Amino acid sequence: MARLGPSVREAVLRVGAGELSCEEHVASRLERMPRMDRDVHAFLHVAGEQAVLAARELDQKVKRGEKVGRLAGIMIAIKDNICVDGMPATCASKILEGFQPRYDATVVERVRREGAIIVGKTNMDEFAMGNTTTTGAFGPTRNPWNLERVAGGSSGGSAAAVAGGMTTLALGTDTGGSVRCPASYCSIFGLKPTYGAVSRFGVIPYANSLEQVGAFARHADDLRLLFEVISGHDRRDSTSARERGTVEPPAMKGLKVARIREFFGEGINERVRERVLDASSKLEELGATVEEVSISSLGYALAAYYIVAMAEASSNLSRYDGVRYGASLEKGSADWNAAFAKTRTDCFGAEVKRRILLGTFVLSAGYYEAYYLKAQRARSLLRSAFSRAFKKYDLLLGPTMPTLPPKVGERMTPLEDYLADVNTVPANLTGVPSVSVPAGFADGLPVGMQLMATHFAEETLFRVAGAYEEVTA
Amino acid sequence: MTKPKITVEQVRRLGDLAKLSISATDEERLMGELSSILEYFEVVDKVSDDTRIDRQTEDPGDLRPDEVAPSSPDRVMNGVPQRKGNLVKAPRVF
Repeated sequence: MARLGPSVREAVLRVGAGELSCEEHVASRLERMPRMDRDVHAFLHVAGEQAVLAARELDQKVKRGEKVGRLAGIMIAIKDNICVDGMPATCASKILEGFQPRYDATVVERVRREGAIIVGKTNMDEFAMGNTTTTGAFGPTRNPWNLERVAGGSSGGSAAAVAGGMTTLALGTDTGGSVRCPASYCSIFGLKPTYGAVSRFGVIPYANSLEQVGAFARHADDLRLLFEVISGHDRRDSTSARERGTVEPPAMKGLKVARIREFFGEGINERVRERVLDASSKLEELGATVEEVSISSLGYALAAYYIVAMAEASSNLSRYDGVRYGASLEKGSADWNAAFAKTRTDCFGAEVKRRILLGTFVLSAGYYEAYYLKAQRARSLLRSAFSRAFKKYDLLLGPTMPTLPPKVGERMTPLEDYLADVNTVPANLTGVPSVSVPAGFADGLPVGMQLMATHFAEETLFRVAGAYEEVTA
Repeated sequence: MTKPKITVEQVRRLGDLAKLSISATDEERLMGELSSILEYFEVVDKVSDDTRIDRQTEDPGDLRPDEVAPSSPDRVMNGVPQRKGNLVKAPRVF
């Protein structure tokens, strides 16, 4: 655990009271980081000097008697597809090697404003396409609980950095489970907020209609605090939702939970099922009513998700031409198309190319109606089914991942790999918030319980995750 | 509805459209991989065409106004791999 104490709020109070030197604290944790990260490889870039400088400025602010922010002195790691002024942003891809954005993403601006100390950029699957953090160009991230296993993905670096004690908080992005999957595999809390709750300005896009910036923390209340800081309307993101009043969340006693039958379906690991059913019984002990419910349109979710995500990816990734930023391999080439293709062919990894090709296919004449439009219809069906379920229930429950973390390098076909996302993609297709909560271990490996609430009901998730944490931690 | 299996020619055509060069060995491999994924995708074919596609997000309302603000060419041009002063150097189009 962090030397700063068990909860972020308590640590911030101590920083504000001048009880500890932020500079000393940050410097000592940074000094230990290379040793801690040697085997895990959570970070692609450590911003040591900038972090110590920010901590020193914060100490001076405290000495002058100024009020400090809600995250004062708290170390935070940022996934490498979120722009931080003056730090690299590679998306773990060779095509963005050497690229350094000259502005902060809105979420980065907001955590800085509250006094958080940015410690560096974390590893990921290339362009966030994956659930293992092994598809990037700069080597895999390993699970701090078991170095033979993957940390999950695509935000595996952020999750491993938090679980491995290298940072207190981290930001990731979640397009189809990329925050919740590594949170589950690394036994920490991970939140995918409601679509539109958090600004995507400064996030390098993969699939715009699905992705959100999400948060990692070791405690449910830390997750709540980080969400409070990063959420809220941003005029620079046209999909960012207007501010709305908060709704009083339901009490634990009488909370109505639907345990979704399809989430415990074919392909689920028996030990994972047991752990999550135990967790569900724990919620009953806390006063919740849990009923088993079936949502048949979930059968379309995985296919619909991949069709939409790949279509959006093929369009988004057409911007990488080797001309405006990043790598450029064909210097002085006489032919536009050849130069374009050379850089893209040599710099994109196999998974990224596969998704671009499939995305191009499902959008092409003659196939658009059969795949893309059908996927959009399936998405609407699922949205209606979810909105009906949330009229009756406060939460939907299931395992975050159907299996335990696989071994690094375990051979799987692309389709087998996609199937692991079956329980996480519905929240992205429907836009609802979802959290992965540590639910114990099976065969020595972490298991996560996924909870979903209706749009903008994040507070319900934090309350229930917090109540569960209190009785199980 | 029967959908054609993806052919080597289609893989090649997709590569052209997406500006990716695909080697002969990769064409074969991709044909197999893409076909099995597309076969899985066909589950959405069961969704009725009468299903209405609804809006995924709320109406953003008024768009923000265009505002003129100073910008520094050095910041904007910062990531350009090849430049000539404040111009982006690109391969020939014609």
